[in-house]
Amino acid sequence: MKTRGEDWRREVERSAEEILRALSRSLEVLTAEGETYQLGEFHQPLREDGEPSPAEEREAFRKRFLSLAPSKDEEGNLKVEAAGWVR
Amino acid sequence: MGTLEKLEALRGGDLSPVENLERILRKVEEMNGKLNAFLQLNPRAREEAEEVERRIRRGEGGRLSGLTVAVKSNINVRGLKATCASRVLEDYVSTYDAEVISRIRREGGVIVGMTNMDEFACGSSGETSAFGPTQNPSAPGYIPGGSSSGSAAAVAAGLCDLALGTDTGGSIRNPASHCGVAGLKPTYGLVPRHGLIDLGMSLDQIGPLAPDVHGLALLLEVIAGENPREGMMLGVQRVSFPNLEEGVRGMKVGVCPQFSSLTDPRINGLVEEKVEVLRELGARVEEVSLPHLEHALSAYYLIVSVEFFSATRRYDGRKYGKRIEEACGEEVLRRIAIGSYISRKEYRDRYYQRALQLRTLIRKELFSAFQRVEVLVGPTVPKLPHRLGEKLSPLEMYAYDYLTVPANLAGICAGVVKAGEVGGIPVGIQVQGPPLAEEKVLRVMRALEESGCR
Amino acid sequence: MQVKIGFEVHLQLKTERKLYCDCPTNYAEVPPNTNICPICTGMPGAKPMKPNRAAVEAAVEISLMLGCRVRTGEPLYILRKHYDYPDLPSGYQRTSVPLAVQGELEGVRIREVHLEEDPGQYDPVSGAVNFNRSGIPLVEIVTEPDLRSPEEARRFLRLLTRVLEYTGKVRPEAGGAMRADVNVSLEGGGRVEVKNINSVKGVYRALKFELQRQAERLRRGEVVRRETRAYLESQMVTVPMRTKELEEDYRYFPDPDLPPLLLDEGWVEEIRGRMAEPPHLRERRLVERYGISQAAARVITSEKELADLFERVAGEVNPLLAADWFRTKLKKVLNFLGLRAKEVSFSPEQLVSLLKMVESGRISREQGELVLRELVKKGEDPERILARLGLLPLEEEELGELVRRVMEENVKAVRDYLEGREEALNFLTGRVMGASRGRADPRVVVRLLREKLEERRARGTEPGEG
Repeated sequence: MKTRGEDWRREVERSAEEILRALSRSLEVLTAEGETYQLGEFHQPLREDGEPSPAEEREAFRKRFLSLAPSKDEEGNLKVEAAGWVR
Repeated sequence: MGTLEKLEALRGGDLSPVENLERILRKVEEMNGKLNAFLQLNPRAREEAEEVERRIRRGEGGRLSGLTVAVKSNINVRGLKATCASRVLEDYVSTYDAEVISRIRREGGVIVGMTNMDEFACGSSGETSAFGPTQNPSAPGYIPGGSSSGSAAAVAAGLCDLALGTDTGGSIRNPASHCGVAGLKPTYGLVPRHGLIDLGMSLDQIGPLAPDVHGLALLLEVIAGENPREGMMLGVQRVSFPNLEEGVRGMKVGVCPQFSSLTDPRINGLVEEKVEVLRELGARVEEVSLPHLEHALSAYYLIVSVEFFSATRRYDGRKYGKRIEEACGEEVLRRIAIGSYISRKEYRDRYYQRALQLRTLIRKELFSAFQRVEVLVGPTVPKLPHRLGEKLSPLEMYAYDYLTVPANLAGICAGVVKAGEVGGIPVGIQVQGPPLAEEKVLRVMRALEESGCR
Repeated sequence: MQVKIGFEVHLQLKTERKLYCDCPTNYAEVPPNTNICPICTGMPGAKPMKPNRAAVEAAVEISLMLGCRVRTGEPLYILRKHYDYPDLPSGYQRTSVPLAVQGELEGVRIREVHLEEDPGQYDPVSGAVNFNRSGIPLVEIVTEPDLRSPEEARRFLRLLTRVLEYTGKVRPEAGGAMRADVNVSLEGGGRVEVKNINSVKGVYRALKFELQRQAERLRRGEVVRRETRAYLESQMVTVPMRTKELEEDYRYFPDPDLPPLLLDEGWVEEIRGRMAEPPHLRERRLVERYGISQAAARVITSEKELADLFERVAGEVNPLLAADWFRTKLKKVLNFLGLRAKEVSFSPEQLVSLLKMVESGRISREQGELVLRELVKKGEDPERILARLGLLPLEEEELGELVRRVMEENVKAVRDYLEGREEALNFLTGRVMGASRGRADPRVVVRLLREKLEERRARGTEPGEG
């Protein structure tokens, strides 16, 4: 397992900057084109509202979800860090 | 045995799915220790094979009827671990089946296990897995390619009949080429991405790897088609490829000088031979230009970094796994850093936005080429695979992707089939077609494959 | 000093399913992490479903209610808004670009309306996270800073929630379904944003505190920094927010998993045609059309069905009478019985019938109220109710008997009347009315009395004789 100290992180970030510089040369290509965020014409029918998902399905998922949780309480809440600014 | 032959044998009762699976598992046991193609085997595979056997007897074997399928570790298979070959998700047991997995099960496929890959699909060599690199069974000592390294290696070594990989910038085609197997990146929006752990959402596609083109077609028929439960699908209900033997007579095939100018002459040589074969088979070969091809790489890496940054915000260690920045490898962290930086308000215009504009340009050029030709043929990778353990800089690693990223940027389909070898190392030839032209692409690939067998 | 106050108000929409998945929306009624699935918990590989149609429709209807222009015929992207917080499972929130712009509500300009998903619930003290609420559809309404005082702001928010609840498409305010970010500035100072206030009362108090704080600083010659603050409900003060949260760059970009919305003009017009007239506009129209008081119109338009009932009735009886009855009696009875106007079991015709009886004087107001109470409890012909309660007006014959009896019992008054003292008639009328226990029409009583008294005069007999 690599050491993950600050040095390592900084090294990675530095290499990222280098790469960005190199890749950016291509961006000097002049183009009047607009941005492509998504490909193709995807029609957007909406999804009907109605009967929600069956309870058994969700119960089964809940079990798996809670078994993955690093920390939880008896009621089924996840437990995460308490907020730093709450005093 | 080719895929279709084996399928016949399974359907006809000459080969039982259980027997098929057991032969495969014996091979896995023999070879995987060294190959490291599989990260996890499916403990329920035998049960599943037995169930398929029962179904075959009832005449309901499905299109796969007991063929074994290896699944890349970034696809959710309920009960198995979708680790993405990362410490971040090393304990993540999938809580649901990806849609493609449901379809494979429905059609009688038997899942062998989860294959190795580059960590979070961020790689082109198969070396960045947190669980050790995968070997190339077809070129021992060399990288298998990536990021679908384990899937390609498993197919090449006969450790499965078919495999699922994913392709964002070449991750199916690159290892297919290095390992000498067939692989296909489907048109964006043809195959559901439900259950696929994201690298770049506007670029990713799940696709098949197989020992032959018929195997590709078969698996694609099973996984492709509309999924009403997700948003970015093309609305194609299903696909089928009954006419792959039809040949290429009269087909307009394009070659591109920009491809070859980026590529090792030895690879070019092999590709030219194959283009000559197509001519002999009656195709009309024409030259088309893609003037901005070389810039596609930059556009790709900038866009995929932003999308990957977004995709990884959920790995905060609160719900499952670990916080990604605390447990991931170098390349993953690098991409997150780049993505985070260039999507910031003050830098967006300069980097991300421009990359998206470049994408439009490249897409237009490709579509323009497809006005003149029906498919494009050329090399898959610009250089031969390096030796495992050889240190490459990130940019040198990215350079493998020059010829494969345009297809992802444009959303078109692209396949790879073995063209030959250079010094014992497999070299694949890439066939690209416009959106939903899988039939033509597969037909050309089949013709090339067939010619290689003579 | 010029005060500028504006809002970003978030309200939950009432749908069966969440916005991007099929999980149920009754988040407060079930144990933690019960209404969840891979999508709304941010599992690896999960992809959103297509947006819930009812949610989009509700957002359009609300936009129309607020007089906005709906952006039809152009692609409306759904963006990813990235920030790190335990209640946000995917590390980003899906929020649309504005679906509608440039509306107005009672002089306050509405800048935009858009659709987004609710995060889950995080308790910073216990560290508990519950994703039941994650993914519930929200509508966000942004106003221009057109409000000028905490009182105005409070009035506006009350009106806004009233208008939105009137559509039936939002969850009522109770239970934290409305959240507001408030921005406030004084002339000469920077704009301060106070985030995440959960009630109208809270908004009022936060504004009062903020304006005082800002005014004091300016008086002392100090700078009022442009900043984001949090409202602490228990202490009724605002405090600076953690700087880390302020440096958030949301890195908005279109969600690659969702194609843009495309709102069809025809569909929007169809919604406009179907939707209820906004209550504040209906109130105005009722005053103009029927000549009723604004106070009455306000009460009548507190519920859509109450106003519908009123208009049905006002066509057939005196609208002023109807309005008075709706305001003082019907609403009172409904409140007392804990019923909403849509839940009453009587028909409009039955109510008309009752009001006509009161209007004609056939029964008294008090009697009418008794009947009304019964009517609300169970729909019935008012005549039958009257009979049942023993309140039917007396037949003239019976009344005549009563008049005769009263005349016999009040000989002196009769003599007084015959001697020319008119006021004795009033006395006798009163006596008859009392004896009838409200079942007599006073005009009829007066007529009968006069008749009989004049008969007596004509006969010339002595009182007490004959």
